[in-house]
Amino acid sequence: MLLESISITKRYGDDAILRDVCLRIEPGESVAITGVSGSGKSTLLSLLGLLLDPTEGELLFREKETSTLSDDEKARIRNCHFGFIFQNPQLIGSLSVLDNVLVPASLARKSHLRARAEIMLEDLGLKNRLKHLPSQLSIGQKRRVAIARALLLEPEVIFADEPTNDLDPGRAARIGDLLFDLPSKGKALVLVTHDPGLMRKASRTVRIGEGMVREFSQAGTF
Amino acid sequence: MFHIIRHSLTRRWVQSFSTLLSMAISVGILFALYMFYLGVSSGLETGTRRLGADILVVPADAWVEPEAVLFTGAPMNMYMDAGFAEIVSKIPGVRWVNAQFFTQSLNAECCSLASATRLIGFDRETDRLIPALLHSTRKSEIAPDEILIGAKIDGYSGLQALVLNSVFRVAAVLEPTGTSLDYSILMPIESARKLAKARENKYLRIYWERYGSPDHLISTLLVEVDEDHSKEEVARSIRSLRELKVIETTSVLKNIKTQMQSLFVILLGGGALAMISSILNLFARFFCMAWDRKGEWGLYRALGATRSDLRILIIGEAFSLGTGGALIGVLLGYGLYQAILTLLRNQKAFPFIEPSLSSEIAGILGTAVIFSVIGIISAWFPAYQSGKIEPSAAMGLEDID
Repeated sequence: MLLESISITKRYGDDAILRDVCLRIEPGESVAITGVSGSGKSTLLSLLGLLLDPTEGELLFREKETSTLSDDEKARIRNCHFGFIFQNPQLIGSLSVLDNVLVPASLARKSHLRARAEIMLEDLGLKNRLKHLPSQLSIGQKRRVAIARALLLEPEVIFADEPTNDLDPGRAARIGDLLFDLPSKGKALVLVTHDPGLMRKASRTVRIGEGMVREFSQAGTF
Repeated sequence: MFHIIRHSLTRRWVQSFSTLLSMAISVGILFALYMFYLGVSSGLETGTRRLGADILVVPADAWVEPEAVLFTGAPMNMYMDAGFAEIVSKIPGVRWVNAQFFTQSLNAECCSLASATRLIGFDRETDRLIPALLHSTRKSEIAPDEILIGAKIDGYSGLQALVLNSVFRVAAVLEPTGTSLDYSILMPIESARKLAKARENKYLRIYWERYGSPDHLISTLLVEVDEDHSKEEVARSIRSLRELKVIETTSVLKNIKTQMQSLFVILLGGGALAMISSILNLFARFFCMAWDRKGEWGLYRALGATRSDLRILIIGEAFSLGTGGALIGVLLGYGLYQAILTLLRNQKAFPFIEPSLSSEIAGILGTAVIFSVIGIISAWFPAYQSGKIEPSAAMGLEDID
């Protein structure tokens, strides 16, 4: 078991954004999280990705309780074991495409991954954009850069927050194909989405409503 | 990490350049001031010891600036009867008198020097200055065919020198004294008089026609006053002879010191204001940066940066600007120092000894360290604040400039 939440709750003041969420994520699995706006999808993604600490409950990574980990230990897990694709690509405007992809490697003090980053960008069709700045890219290209950045250190879990948002159907399908190719390589994919096409591809779908898990469905049944 | 810092600085190049420039200007002013202060204070200190006399006596008709006599090597042809040495030595309170005879080299093929230089002939029997100057060499006295070369005289190489077609052996090159000796050539008085009469020095003949043979002339008297007598009183007594002009060396040095102190206060004030301005600029930049780039710090945190990593990124930027500003400023300051020195020397003669290489290196390293530390301190609080940013701040942000 790679990641497990046991009755996690997240409150801001008296308001509970999420309550008693239990979820297990295995290697090679793809989990789609869906729900209406404000239901707590992104908060759940943040909790699972160690971007936020739960108010109550336990979150286990490789069967180890994460609440006992220091801030730096959590940062190291995010850096080496998790990959993030945010709703907006969030590239650093002052860095080139290649340097943006290399940010996690720089933070991990792994300076030898330049060649790998170049190959990944070539595979994603960005061979001629390595030196470009993010402002010179289309939204689809930016998302592919964000994907390359998330995958550079070969993480075990990839968290994606509405990765096809604002994309036309053709581009959304290509991004979807890229992401759903990852579980076949043994990686877990957790994504927040409203896109029925992506939900159909996921091995499980979790619907969040009013801060609670309302429904599970297996692949193709949602 | 380094390339993230580098890119961040180059991307915001207008901000970086203005911060770097303001740092460089304040460093430049302070470094120039440091170098100039070292040179003047060393010159004043050594000059006080090396002038060799409390009072300098010159002919009453000599049209000379006291500072020019004491601190430059410009040729100075002024003469009086050698008998004044004995007259002055009998004034109460005079411990000893040493006569000197001035002549000059020429800016011509007859001489090894590039320009006309003051030649000082000293009386080997009464002189008390030369043994002190020879202290660091193995010689105890100078032969008639030997010369001593001032520390700042260029053009000589080797052990021999050609002066007015006469070949002299170079007995020693003197250590810097901060006085006119640095720009002069010293030799026994009989050698100097012989050169004065040389065929090449034909335009000096007007002096010999006016004052008589150089064999009976002197140019200055160095007077040392007894400790139990007032220098002012002895100076008054010499002045009363009417035919002599008195230069009180301590008074000249004191005046120069006062003038230089005023100059330092003005420059230091300017330097301090520039420094305060650049520190405020640096602090403001990094203080604003903590808030303006919140999204960027949140993203780094989400991607695995620890709080320490963020602090390194922010302080690294400040350190780079501080150190870069200091290094550029040192170059700027060196140019400014040379400009101030040239400008002031054109206006007024004053004692000056070039700072040693070790002092220069200490100044460069000290400035670099001080301004790097200032850079770090100015970024410390913003870095501390930014370190508190939660990784979840990255969620839902737009692209980061």
